[in-house]
Amino acid sequence: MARAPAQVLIRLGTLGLLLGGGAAMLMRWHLGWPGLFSGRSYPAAVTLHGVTMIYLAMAPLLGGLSLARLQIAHRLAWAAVWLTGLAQLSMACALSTPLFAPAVGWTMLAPLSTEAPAGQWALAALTLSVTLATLGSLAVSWLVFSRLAPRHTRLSARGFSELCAAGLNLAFAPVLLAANALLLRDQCFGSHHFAATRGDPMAWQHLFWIFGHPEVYILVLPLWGAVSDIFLAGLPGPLDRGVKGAMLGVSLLAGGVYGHHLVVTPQGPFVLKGFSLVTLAISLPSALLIGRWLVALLRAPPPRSEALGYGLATLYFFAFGGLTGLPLGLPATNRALHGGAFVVGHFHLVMAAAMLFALWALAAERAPLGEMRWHRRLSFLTAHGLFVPMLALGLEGVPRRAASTAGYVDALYAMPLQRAATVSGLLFGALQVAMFLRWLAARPRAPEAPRTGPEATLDLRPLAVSLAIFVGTLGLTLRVAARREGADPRAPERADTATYGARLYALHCAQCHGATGRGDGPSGAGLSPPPRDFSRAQFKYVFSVGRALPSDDDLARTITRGLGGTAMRPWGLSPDEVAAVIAHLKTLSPRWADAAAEDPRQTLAAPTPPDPFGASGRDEALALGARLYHGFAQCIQCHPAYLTREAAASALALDPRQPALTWRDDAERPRAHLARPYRSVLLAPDFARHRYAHEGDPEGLFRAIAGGIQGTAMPAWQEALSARELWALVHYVSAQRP
Amino acid sequence: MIPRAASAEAQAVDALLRTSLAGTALLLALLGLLVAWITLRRAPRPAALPYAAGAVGVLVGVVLVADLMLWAQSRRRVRDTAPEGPEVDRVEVLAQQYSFQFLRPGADGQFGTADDLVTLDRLMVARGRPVVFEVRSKDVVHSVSLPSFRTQAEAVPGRSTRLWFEPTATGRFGVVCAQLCGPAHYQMTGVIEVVAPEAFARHSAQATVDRAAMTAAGARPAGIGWPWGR
Repeated sequence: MARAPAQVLIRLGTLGLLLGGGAAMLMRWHLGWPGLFSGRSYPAAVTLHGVTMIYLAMAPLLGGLSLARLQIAHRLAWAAVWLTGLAQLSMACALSTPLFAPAVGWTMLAPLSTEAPAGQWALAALTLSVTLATLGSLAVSWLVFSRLAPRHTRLSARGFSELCAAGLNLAFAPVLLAANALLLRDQCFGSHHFAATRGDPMAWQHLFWIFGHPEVYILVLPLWGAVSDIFLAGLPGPLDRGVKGAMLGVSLLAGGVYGHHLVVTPQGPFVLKGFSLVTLAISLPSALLIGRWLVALLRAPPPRSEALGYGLATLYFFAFGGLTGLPLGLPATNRALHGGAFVVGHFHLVMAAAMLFALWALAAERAPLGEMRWHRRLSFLTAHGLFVPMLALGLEGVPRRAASTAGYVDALYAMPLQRAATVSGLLFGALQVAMFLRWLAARPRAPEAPRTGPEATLDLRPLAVSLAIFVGTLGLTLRVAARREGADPRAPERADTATYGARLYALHCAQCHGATGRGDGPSGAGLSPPPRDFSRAQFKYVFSVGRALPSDDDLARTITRGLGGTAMRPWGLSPDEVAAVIAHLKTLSPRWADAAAEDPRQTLAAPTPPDPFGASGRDEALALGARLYHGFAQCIQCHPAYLTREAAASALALDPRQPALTWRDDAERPRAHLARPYRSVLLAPDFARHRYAHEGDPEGLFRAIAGGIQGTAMPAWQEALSARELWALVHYVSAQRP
Repeated sequence: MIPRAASAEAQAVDALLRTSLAGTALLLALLGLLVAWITLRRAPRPAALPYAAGAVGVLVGVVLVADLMLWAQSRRRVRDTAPEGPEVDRVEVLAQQYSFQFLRPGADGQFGTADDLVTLDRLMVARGRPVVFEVRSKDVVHSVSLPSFRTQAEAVPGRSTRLWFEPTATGRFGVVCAQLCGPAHYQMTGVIEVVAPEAFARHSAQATVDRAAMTAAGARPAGIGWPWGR
């Protein structure tokens, strides 16, 4: 089926809008009535929502609308379509990575993003291709204007705004591209552009926001142009020029305001003052724009239409969003509101409410959908109900991207506000979906669009200018950012291995053992036995003569083999990674520092002697094991009875060192004295019925019997029994499990 | 809705916030009425407005005056550098996934010595005494946010950031991480307890005694206790 690239882009963008909106609805549901997401999946949903809405929904949608208006089907436009498709595919790949990995927010701050697991790959690839897609589509409009402008003497306000957006995109998208390339290099090739020790995490924040703030204007400008055309009915004149001038003013200042995103980072007050003034200054062309719109509406009122109604709502929400930005422009109030729900409310008023109304205005302009008044009014109300509580939550000090607001003691009204926003938000979403379905049913068939455009007439000079700007910015950014790598370490106290271990610990261990190793991680609650408390440095499995703390080998064994019958699974880490984690474990308790000063001879681990019995001597081993188990060693006292009393007596009769037979009928009852160091009742396992730590691991079992289990009643048997006898016990114990 | 203002800065910030939010509400209400009138009036008649001068000029003027007023107010009332001097209570804050470590220099006033006092996720400060945090991060970017004191500072690995406030009310106030730092980001919270100066003195003396007992037995946690900057 033949389609113009513009139509495909619009479809892809709409798909993105539905996906990103769906994620937003789920998040709203979770915030009002928690339970849908976990601590890990919530930030992943936030990332999905942000990245999709900005790069995968609005960018292709606006590009497509612009191409559709200009009737373009150039090869470059098809390239944009392919890149957008590729980007959406890589987002799908990111979602299918283990752990739903890219849980870093759309700002992707290093080093969280450089250390995140493999899903980051997909995310970085995605932003790359999306930026290329935006760029492609806008380069197309740039080209086209160059072709149209000389013949058509006047650009409409919408055309002019698209030109402004294209210019901003050309100037700033390469910055993000370069930053993404460096981030990918950090992730995949071990460079240190944004690392703390040999690079600079602040470099990422600067590069990201140099692009990130203009990106807002890149998305907003074409819609400003579109509603301008509705308000001014496309007529030329002083007002038309005034509106264009205001949009040009915003575009010129757009690159100079990004510093207000860095107010709470280490910056000098002078820098902050400068950025603050520019941020306040950008409110002037914005006020000019809104003022000229109002004058146009009052001087020569356009005929009443659905499109005009949506356009007025757009005007209102642009003003609302802009005014709530004022406290964020001042460093003093920004420090109180930064990173909080107020910011989310502020930019959603512009990026969600105003832009959505503008899109509906365009849809209504293109195809009359009949009565839309109730959709408009209810959407207007529910948008307030959705975003005003977010502003209030921000004033209460609730941070953005928080999976739960339960722990914030200062926010007294967090829950009612969240629920109000959720109810309104779900209504708002339902209204848009209902209208979308109606639009699908009623939309006019697309007119025959050209599949290819007139290419011969293209003037290549503007393309060359665009490419020069693009390559220039890209090269400059790469050069500036790359120079920062390899700078002197700013924090020499943090050795590389320790940092690495801390990251691995945070990734793999902290969920159960807790961030500070107190065994209080969110997933550790309720486990029996509970996760080890590393801050006490008390370990069960130590096989080192005369030593309280385990050797590195002991710890490595526990990490790589896991402990049967507990939640401690075997971790498939490389030896380097295990060593780094162990190095980090040793920072969690002062006992390790004390032990380092001990007699070095005691830190030698005894080797495990080989099994003297082997397969052929198994019966002999079992017989000897049974005698020791029930006789001399009295294992039966704690590890409960599973022989009949008679069988046990006959086993005892074989052992010359036999003590008096005592038979415990209470052997299976919990005994509290075993519990103390590990915060729960630990039963000595019944080898016939329970799962136990070294099941199926004869060497581990040998070490547990020989070295004992610290903090429990299990003694070390290596002084009392010979290696042969210990191995016999290993065989006997192992044989109890059918 | 806004939590109790618990610091001198918070009162100034609240005044600014109230001004700008009230202005926002007023302008929006006017705009809303205008928009409603444009939408609902029966027979639209062209108004005899000049092209740009009058109405637009007034609007831009209002915004300009509001901007400048807020700017001047914020410059006058809220300091933009950390206070210095002997009366300042200096605390090092090490943010890490997912907790805050606070370190005071102890009796000798020097950071990184044996008598340093370290607490995890909680800190006691005296009412009326300016507090300055020097913030660092052990792993990723965090933000030490103090909603009731209306201030925050990002903890960027490899750098130090200053944060300052002067508590004016006693009570327990939250310290939360305001920058996505991992799966348990939302659980990264702590408590700043503001007490009367006498109670603070008692507490400090006891903490010093406890610390002396601990020093004999153990060591300091890694990564905290850097020499105080500048």
